Amino acid sequence: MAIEQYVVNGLLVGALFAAVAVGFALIWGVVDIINLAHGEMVMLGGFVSYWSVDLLTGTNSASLLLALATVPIAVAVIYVVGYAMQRTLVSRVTDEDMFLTLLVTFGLSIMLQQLAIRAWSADPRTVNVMFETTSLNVAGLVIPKMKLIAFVGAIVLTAALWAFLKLTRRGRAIRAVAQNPEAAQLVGIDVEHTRATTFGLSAAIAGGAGAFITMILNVQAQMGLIYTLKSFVIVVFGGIGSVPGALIGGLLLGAIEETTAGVWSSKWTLAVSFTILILLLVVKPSGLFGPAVEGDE
Amino acid sequence: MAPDSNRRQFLKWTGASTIGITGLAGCAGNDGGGGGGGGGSDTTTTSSDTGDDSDSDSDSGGSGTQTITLGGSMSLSGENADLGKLYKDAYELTIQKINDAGGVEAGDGNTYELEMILRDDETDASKSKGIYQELIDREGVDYLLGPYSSTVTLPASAVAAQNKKPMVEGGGASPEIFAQGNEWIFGLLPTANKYALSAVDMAMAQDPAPKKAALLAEDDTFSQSTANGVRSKIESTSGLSLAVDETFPTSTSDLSTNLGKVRDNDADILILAAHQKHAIIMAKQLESQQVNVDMAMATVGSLNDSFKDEAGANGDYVYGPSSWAINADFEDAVFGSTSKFAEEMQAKYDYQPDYHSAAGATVIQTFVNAFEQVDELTPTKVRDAIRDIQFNSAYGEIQFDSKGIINKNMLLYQWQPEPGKQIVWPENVQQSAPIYPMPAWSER
Repeated sequence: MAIEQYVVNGLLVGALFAAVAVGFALIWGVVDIINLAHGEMVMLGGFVSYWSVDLLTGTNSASLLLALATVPIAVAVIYVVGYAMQRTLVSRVTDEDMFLTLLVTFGLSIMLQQLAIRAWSADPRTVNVMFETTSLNVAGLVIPKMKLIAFVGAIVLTAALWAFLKLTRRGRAIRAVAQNPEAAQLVGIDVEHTRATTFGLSAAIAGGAGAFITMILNVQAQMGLIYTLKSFVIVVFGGIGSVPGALIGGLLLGAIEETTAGVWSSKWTLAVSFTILILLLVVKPSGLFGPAVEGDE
Repeated sequence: MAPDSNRRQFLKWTGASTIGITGLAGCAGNDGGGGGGGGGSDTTTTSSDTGDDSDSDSDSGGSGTQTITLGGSMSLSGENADLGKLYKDAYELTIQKINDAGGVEAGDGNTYELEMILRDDETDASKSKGIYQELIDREGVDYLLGPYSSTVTLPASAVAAQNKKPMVEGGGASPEIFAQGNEWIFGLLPTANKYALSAVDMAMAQDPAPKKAALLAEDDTFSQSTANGVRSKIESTSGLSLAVDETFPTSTSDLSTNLGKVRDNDADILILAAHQKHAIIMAKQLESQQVNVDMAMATVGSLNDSFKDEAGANGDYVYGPSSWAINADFEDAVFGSTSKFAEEMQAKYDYQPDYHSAAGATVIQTFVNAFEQVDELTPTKVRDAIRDIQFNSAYGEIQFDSKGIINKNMLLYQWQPEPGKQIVWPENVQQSAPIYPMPAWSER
């Protein structure tokens, strides 16, 4: 198989990793919290999509339009979950020691996993999107149609978030809180509401990505951890707080992992990803696109 | 958006986060299960006194109702919670049936009720190990029910050996478990290296026989043992070569690149040594990656109804192995027969039992048979009785070899569009001939 095929495989799945990581980067940058329950937002978004299809069709098969219609549902539902999480629990530890916030969000992730198992069992679930033919052949490359649509969807979600942050009043408020919460409060910004909105947006984009992941792969109650870990790697790749950085980081990670799997073996993918992470931390700790920090080489 | 920082602060923060996140991930277990402290949930079937200290050779519970306590850990949450539930249900129903029928008439002349303490190991091997040690030390349990999965069973079986307590398990199939010289472990599943052999035999009996095989294996203990069995089998099969041999991490969620290798190497048969999550992904991505093989089989999880429900039409023609056939009617001292066992499981839990369930029920029955054989209830005597045991259960004929492994070969099933899941190999028990080769995707 040509190396171009590996890169294409990696980019297609990397865009979804990127969309998940963008949300992770947003909370890290604005609320100053590493949300270890972020992967569970992906899982919940996946289940919202799955159960929406199940409710409407009585099966797990859906037309493309119906499947895509579940994405905004997942985004909306998981936004509410994220907002409520910040307001009721995370806000209590926002300004506390970092390890306390890690513990709280880790506890949340375990709680959500266990609730999901109780509610929906540990069985993997998937949404089967019906196509006449499931893939395209472009210049000798096999491109699954649903993956291509998910790729575009992930880019759209990421771009929408970026535009929201840049162009809207609420987006400017979020950036203001990220830069200086005290000053933001002085000019009349409701910091707690803004942080909760940020948490909601972060969860929502992860939930939207989860809906796409359910269509191309599957969803399972314990799937969240690997998405949290990948988000962490991507954010350090791209630069903390940088939306374009997280996007490029996700695409890069996907391409590197699939090329490693193709050229060498899948068993080397995690080793290669984390080796690059460590090297990057040593050589350029602010990430590829993060704001320069003192001492960067 | 990043706060002001200098390099040292940044490195400290990110480094601490890395350690924290990695450590917490470690707590969560590499099987993706839950983590955190606590002993997890604790399921106790029947109430009674527990035994006394671990050195005790008697398991009677005092002057009241005499009980024998069976104890173990199980994947009631975590990566394998779906399969762990099958064992828990089978254990509970079997114990309930035995107790309702008057209990166990042991060889020492007493009648005992059975009690079970089953704790959630969250699909975490180290947690499971701790649970077994605690059951022995604090609860005085002398007879151990094995956990699920080879990764968890291997260290758990070492605890059984160190404490000289017999463990009967229906959820660990790696040959490694039985290669430690451990005299206290008995396994009811054919070892993992046998799982895919009947599929290779079936394919080689077809005309034309396959020339190239592809093997995709998850990197857990069980799947690697399965893969080793496949490699040895292919090596000893003339005319068949291993064109693709890939190992992937459990956390891998996308098999596209590996399936692309299967396609580009023109493999005739594909064996996926992995669990249900990957079996579903394989079924989905075989089509989207345009992989047309004559046979595709997944070693675990491909025969459950939930696999077919999720994979839909893409699950058609996929093969899977089982150590048990629901329609092969064996006599069973507790349930009456295999079919009655299946009926009672269906009635109580609303699902059709598979081989995990049948093996789980037989774990309990193995102990019961041993208790009936011994003139004194001690772990050593019960272990010796299990070594020589021979009886029939809903699961089939039960007898162990010198390593403690059941003497049993795997059957091969195939999902066929009509009439559904069928035994296709070996020929002497087949319900339908295999549909081989699988139709190409363009012809479906």
